[in-house]
Amino acid sequence: MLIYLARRVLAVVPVLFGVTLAVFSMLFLVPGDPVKMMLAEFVTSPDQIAQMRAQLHLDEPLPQQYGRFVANALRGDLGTSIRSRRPVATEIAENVASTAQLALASMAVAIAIGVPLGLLAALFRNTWLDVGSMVVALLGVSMPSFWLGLLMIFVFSLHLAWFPATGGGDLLHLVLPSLTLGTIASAIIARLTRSSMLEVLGQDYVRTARAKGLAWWGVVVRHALKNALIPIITIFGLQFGNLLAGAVIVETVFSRPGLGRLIVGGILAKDFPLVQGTVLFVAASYVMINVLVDVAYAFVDPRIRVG
Amino acid sequence: MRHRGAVAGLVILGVLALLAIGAPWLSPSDPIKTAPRTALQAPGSGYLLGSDQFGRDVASRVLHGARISLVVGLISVSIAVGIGAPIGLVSGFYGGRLDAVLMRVIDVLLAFPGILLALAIVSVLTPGLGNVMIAVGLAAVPTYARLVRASVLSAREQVYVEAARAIGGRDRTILTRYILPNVVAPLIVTGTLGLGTAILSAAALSFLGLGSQPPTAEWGRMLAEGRDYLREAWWISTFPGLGIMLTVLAMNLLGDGLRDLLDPRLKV
Amino acid sequence: MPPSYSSRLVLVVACVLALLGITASTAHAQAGGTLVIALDQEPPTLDPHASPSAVTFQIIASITENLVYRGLDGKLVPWLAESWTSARDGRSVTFKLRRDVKFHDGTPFNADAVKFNFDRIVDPKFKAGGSRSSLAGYAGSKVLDEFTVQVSFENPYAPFLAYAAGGTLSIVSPKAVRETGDQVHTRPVGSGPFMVKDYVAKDHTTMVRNPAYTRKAPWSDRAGGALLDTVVWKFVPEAGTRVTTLESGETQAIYLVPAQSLPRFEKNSAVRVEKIPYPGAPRIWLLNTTRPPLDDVKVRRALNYAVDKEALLATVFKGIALKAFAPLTAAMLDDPTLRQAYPFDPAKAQALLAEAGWQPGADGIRTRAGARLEIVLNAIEYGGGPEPTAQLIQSSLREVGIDVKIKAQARPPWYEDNYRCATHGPVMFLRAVDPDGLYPLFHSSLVGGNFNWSCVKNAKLDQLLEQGRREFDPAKRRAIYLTIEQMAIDEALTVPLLDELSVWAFRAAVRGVKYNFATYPVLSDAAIQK
Repeated sequence: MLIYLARRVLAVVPVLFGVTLAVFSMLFLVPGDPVKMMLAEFVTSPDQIAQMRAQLHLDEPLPQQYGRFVANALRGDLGTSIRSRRPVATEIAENVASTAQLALASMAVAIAIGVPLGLLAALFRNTWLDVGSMVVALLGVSMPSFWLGLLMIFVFSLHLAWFPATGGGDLLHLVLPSLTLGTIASAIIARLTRSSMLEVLGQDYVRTARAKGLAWWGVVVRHALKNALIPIITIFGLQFGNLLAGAVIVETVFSRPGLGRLIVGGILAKDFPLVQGTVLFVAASYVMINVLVDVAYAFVDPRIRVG
Repeated sequence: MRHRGAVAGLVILGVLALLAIGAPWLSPSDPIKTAPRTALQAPGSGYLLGSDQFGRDVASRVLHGARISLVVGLISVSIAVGIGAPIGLVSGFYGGRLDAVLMRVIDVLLAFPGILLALAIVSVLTPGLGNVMIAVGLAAVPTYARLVRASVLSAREQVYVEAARAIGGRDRTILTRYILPNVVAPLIVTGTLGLGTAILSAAALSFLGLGSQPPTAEWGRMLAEGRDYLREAWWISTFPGLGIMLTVLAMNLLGDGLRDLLDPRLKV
Repeated sequence: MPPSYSSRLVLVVACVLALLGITASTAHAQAGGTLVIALDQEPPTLDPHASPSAVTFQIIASITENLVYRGLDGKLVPWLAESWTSARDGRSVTFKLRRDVKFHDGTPFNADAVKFNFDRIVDPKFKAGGSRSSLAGYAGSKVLDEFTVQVSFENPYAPFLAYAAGGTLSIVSPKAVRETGDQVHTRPVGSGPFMVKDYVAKDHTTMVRNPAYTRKAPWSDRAGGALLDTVVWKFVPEAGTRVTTLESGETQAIYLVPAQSLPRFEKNSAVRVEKIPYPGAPRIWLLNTTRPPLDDVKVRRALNYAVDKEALLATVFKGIALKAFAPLTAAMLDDPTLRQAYPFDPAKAQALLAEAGWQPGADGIRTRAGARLEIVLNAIEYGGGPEPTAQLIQSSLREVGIDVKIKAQARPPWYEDNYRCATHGPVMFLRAVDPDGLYPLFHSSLVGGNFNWSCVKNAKLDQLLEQGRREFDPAKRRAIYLTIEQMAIDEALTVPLLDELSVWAFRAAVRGVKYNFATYPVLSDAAIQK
């Protein structure tokens, strides 16, 4: 077990190394002079450009710059935003809670919709319930989040006036964005629940339990559902990444503060340090979450340790 | 059921493709022609699907949007397969250190979840529809590289490949004669599903203002431009959204059906 | 009073006060309460000296104070300065300051504070915003005694008093600037009836009543501080959302009412709309005169005949703008002679283009020697689409055979292109409080800077613009600026599009909002009737 854990954690190191390298190179892949582009809004003298260059350490050799970038990142220093002139780490700290809330609430919505839908489909296989659930799931997979978000605003905000359309802050503001993101994520969860449930229902021990005359619902809950949930947990890590990415769009639709809007705003404003820092943060979090999920999974399902 | 779904997908897709190809002739009017005096007209007799804030015909714009979305999807997936498949092929077939290095690179790319990788690429390339296709394509490279690599690995284990090796078959022959056929089926399935994903991502980037340029009739941008008119003119953003969903739905139906047909092992 | 001011007053009286009816004087209005206002954007900073953006000045109009105040009537009246005298050579102004003023942090206001503020703006180490050009040719401030200060310029500088009344030359607490460092970006410390309480990025800023304010604000007819306890400025970029929040009562005021919502508001008795014409430059297309084919005055004139301004007024600007004729709005400088220029006349445009050698081509776009008639319009991308006039300009010009490419981009690269004269020019607007606003638009020294994005270098223009700065006689000044406008029209340096209105909507219970010359609301007399 410990060996497995150590191996899993060590495997992350080269990936994180690569991620920092990729994010670091972004600045140099940009066509044109990044410093001039960043200072575009100000009328600048050559002096100021040189000063900026020095401030960003762009006058040093590349390996040294990269070393500094990684060393700073490890200390939690992700540079300074060109536009707000504030530390990128501060900007992230102010926005991370909002995005995490959205991702978690969406996950809850996705599970609350997806698991029952998948269960129904599996238990009533090949009936209209199955077909109906899977058609709904398919619609969910095909739905652009930005369109669903606009429809939600149209119905629940402009017409029914139940929830505020945009902004962040209290729980009321969380409802429509998390419904939007969660509904879309629920589609994948529903399909996954259905297929893993079908697999488990076909297993010998479930058949035996039923043959022994145990109540049908008892079998489903005690044996089948428990085992079917294991692969569903794995998808958590993957889905969490999708939710983080989905937040980029949904936050824009609902004008909700968060990491996604930070990135999009940064791209539009050519605020490279902000984009680099935030992208690095999101990617690193995603990698770490996946490690945690893997580790948790190993605890839940002993068979994993072999692999 | 899956079969019926695939047929439905194929039919929707066929109709969409015909509409897209025929857009210049089918459109009631020029999609970028403004008519200020008849702006924001509701769907009805004058305008089938209404007019937008500049008096442009929404129906014509939606039709032309289909054209753009299908082309963007096709080109993005071609880029993804064109780069991803050779990587997977080489990696899976030769294995060893090359494989290890390539897969680490792919791992790094996979560390950027979902649309984040495409966003990061667009930020470097600067916004525009062409760059969106490149970004969405590059962002999907890991998917195809891994898929092809896995298919190659499983094919390599097959008895006939061992046999061909044993009798001294050349790498190229083995690759083209024995391994490629095993790769094609999952590639077609994943590529079809990938078309849907690519169309969604590209529209999302345009929605965020990083893609198509005005006055192009592109669905994502139409949605974004219609957002401020949601209350007074719901039709501006509703119909392009419906267009995206239908197209992606058709791709998904078809992809699911093809999977059952070509590659039963690849169940969800 | 110049005619422009009276025309604005008429509009204000007609549009605003008449709607209010004969309401109770604000002095009797209830005190207390919170006013929530939704703005269309977040300010880049609240530091008046660092800000290049009008949003900053909308917010801080009742937080910081100026030496001089100027209301919608255009008259300069005492504020932090009790009186002032301009030197006979026009190179300096001496201000006698009030002795009873303290900043929000308790720092006393005096001549040193004025000197500190102005010196800060011109400090080369300071990244000044619009404030730097308000002090063009600043030679220094001399503290004559604790409450007397003399501000000097290298040349006679007629616009100075108008600028001294504007947001860019607001006076902030020197102590706060020295001690709080970067915090001044979110917490400027002024001396006005309101003070900043908090600032939450991308969401809102709150200002609260300054209990120490006992003076009579220059816009008010009573002594004493603000009636409201709190004003919250929310940043709500989506127009539709702003409208919804006002209708639901979540906010009591919104700025920038979208044209499509005006009809509904005007039918709704719970809501009141107020429109005030902006001074400064209209929404205007600055034509890059150096870039072919726009180096040809015939083509530039053709653009002026071909752009259908009525189309703009019928759609995205319906009810929120007036037709523009010149590089200054009618609210800034109006004259019947300016209104003659360039009626909408596509036939005339076609003729001019043909004269310039551009012949109709196969795809409807004109060509000359094999080259298509293409023009790149530099447009800010606002997220929900580019600059709202761009697509209609594009459409108008296609009618006469010009292919307009819209380069939609975020602000920073948009500026970069303007500095480099890299496109055929941007659509922009400039809020200015003096006709001297033409100087940044057309003086040759500002090619590559703010805002000579027509990239025009014309000795005659330069000379007139400099002369305008030196001339103190109102009638002569007016004549100079009219001449400049006429030249800009004849040379077709721009396509003036729309004189915009500053459009606010309030819950009907909100009373007593007044506006300064720049149309920014001053709120100490504002109250919410129960």
